[in-house]
Amino acid sequence: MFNICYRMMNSTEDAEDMLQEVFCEAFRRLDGFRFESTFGAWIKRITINRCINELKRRKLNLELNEEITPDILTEEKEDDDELKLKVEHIKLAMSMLPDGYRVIFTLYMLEGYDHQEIAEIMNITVSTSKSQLARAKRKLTEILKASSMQYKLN
Amino acid sequence: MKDRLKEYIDENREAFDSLDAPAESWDAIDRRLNARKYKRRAIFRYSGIATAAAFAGIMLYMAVLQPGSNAKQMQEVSYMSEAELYYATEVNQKRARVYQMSAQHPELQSEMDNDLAELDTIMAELKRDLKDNVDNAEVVEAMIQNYRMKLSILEDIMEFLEEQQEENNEQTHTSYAL
Repeated sequence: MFNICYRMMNSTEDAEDMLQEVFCEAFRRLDGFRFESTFGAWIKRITINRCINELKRRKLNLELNEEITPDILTEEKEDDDELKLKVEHIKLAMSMLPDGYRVIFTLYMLEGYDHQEIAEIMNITVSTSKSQLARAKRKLTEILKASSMQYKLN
Repeated sequence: MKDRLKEYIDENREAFDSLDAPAESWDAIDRRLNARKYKRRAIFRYSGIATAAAFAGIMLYMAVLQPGSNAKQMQEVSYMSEAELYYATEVNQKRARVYQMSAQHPELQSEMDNDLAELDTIMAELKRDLKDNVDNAEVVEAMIQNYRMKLSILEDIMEFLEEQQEENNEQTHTSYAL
């Protein structure tokens, strides 16, 4: 859960605060846990909802454009085959994404939610979720390329 | 459609969860939960026992108004009466003690009164909603839980007040030492 908090909040300090909030809330709501899901899935959902609410509360930019641009969806050309993927680079690149992109990227690529679930969690449409994910991936790839080039230059 | 990035992330998923929660996190959570315990009991505890307590009032009602029950029920009834006497006495004693100790904390007194009154209300409401004979053993158990809840609330408040007193005493002694 701590890792989820960190990915959402993009800071260890905030992640620590949120972790405490999440577990306090989970303990308080324990009476209401009716085994509709696993305990882990239940806490995970609380974690994500809490983090998203906190990000919204801070008025960080979670606003996502509703426009659908079909060309982005189909534009999956793999011209980044040369791009060597490394976990630490991806983590760093994620921390450099705007909040909205980072959250959607995290929810889909790491937390395993599908677009229907993301739409519910973030109160957006499924198509917005898809298009925003595509944009997030593009942005991330750009960051990865830029940082790997810099690495080579150095 | 091949998603190289997704594949890579899936294959290396564990490496993305490399951070550990700081060791003091659990202490902090524990402190926060305890700080809330005596304040927010009413809201959070009742949801779980409301159903159980539902039957509690039924038992009492039956014990009082249906003396012609069968032998097993009579057994439960007499057990309940004894248990009830015990618990009711305990609750009253602890309540009196808390009042004594909480003279400096009137807000605590009113919170406690509210919490206990809510439990009483649940009991009373459920008595009114009496239906058929239900499983007496279950009902007795539920009533006992209701009383235990009251005792738990009172004991937690007492523990808190005792800690406060200890802290105050320590501070007083320290200042004398100077």
